Amino acid sequence: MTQTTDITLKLAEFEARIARGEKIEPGDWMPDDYRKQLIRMISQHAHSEIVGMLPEGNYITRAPSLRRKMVLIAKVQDEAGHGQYLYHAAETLGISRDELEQALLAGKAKYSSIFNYPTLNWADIGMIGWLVDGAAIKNQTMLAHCSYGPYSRAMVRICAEETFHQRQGKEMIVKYAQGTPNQRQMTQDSLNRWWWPVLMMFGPHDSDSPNSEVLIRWGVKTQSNDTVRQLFLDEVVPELMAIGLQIPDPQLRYDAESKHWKHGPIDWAHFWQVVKGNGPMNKERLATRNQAHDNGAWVRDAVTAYAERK
Amino acid sequence: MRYEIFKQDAPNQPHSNIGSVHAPDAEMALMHARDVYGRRPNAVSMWAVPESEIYATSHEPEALSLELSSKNQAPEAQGSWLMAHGSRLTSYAVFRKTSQRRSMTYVAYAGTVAASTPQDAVTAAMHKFPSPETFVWWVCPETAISKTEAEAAPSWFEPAKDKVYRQQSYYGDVARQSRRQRAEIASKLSGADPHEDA
Repeated sequence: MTQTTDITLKLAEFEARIARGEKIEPGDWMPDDYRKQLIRMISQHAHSEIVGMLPEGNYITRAPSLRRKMVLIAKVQDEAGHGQYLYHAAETLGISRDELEQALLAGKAKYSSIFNYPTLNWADIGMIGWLVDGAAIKNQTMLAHCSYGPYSRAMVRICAEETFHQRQGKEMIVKYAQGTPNQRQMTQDSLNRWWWPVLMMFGPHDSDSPNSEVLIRWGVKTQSNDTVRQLFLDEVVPELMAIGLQIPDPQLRYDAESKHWKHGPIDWAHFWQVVKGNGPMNKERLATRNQAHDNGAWVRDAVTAYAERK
Repeated sequence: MRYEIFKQDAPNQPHSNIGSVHAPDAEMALMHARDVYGRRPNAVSMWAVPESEIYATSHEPEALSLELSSKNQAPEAQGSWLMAHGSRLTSYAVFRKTSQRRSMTYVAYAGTVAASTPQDAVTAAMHKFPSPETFVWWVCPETAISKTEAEAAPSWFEPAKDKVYRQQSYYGDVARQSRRQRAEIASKLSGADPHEDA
């Protein structure tokens, strides 16, 4: 048997396993491109959880009540944990945690652009919980059905925990949207700034998403970017309207025929600028992450020295 | 060092693999595991096993003939594994994955077998723990497992029970409200432009 037919057979069996709904596990045969795409997606996702701690973490000392503070600490701890679940999943594909971490610190790794926007007022913390985590849950619910076992299991656990994030955020926004004039204005200001970046979180339109087709065939993604974006839109638009907030999209409309909400054009030129590192907070986030890593060096040294001495 | 972590959700359930942590020793690995995998109140015990102590089979259709491959390890690393563990009879802990349906389940503890090599341990496990389908086998010497202590477990895992604000059920009102709001708006929509409605 030639090497080419061998690979063709293996690929056929691999795709048949996915079609049967089996999970691919570490050590199983997989096409190089499957491994590569998964490492790309999982590491990007892991870094997003880690960088995602920064916009909210800086509000822990400024939370307006003890309850809100405990909730926010718990949420930020969860994001750290989610980063760890995902680094673990990436490692099962043969990349080391050290490589992943170094790529992030050196600014070579991508993470979700949503974290390159600043948190300017307290309502942003609620808006991130409701809309940013809400959008992430939509993506993650889809990825929980992913064909790669470790990624799928990490997503199931993350979705369950993120639901708390989304609900505590919504609880805040619903309250403030119906609160004092200052609270209402703070909340509307927050929605105005986050709405479009949140819609961009689902990625480019299907027509401009080069990886999607093969990722769907291999069961890595099970729904397209536009499909998941639509699910999100249909859920949150009525909920935001119900509490009297104005969605900053003059072209937003309900299409009675398809029973879907339709958004106006997304500014993709802006999106790509942020992806390329020119967003409002890219440099700040990277510098803060590096500083945190450097400040933790003595802890790593101490635990290593302790283990060696035992 | 990388440690695989196994979590037990309730006293009558087996320890199941949930992920890994990096730590310089087993004590630290268990502490990290508590922080990373025990933030919700569904843990009663955790085990940590150095990755290098685990011998794993992978699913391959032709591998029904017990062809083994060691998890994430080069052939020379497998050689040193065998040298380190010798050939005397050892008690191996056995973990296996038997379902493709339950999305959260990977390998769960099945019991122990006595064998002189990890390959023999897998063969012994196949006889001792027969099941219509086993997709993954993991074995490790029983002595390689570090466990949380039963007396200390409440102080490790019970504080998570008091943090009810971490549970999505704590925000049940929010979920009910969302469903109501969506239903109200849906009934208002009669195909008219919502901006005109407002």
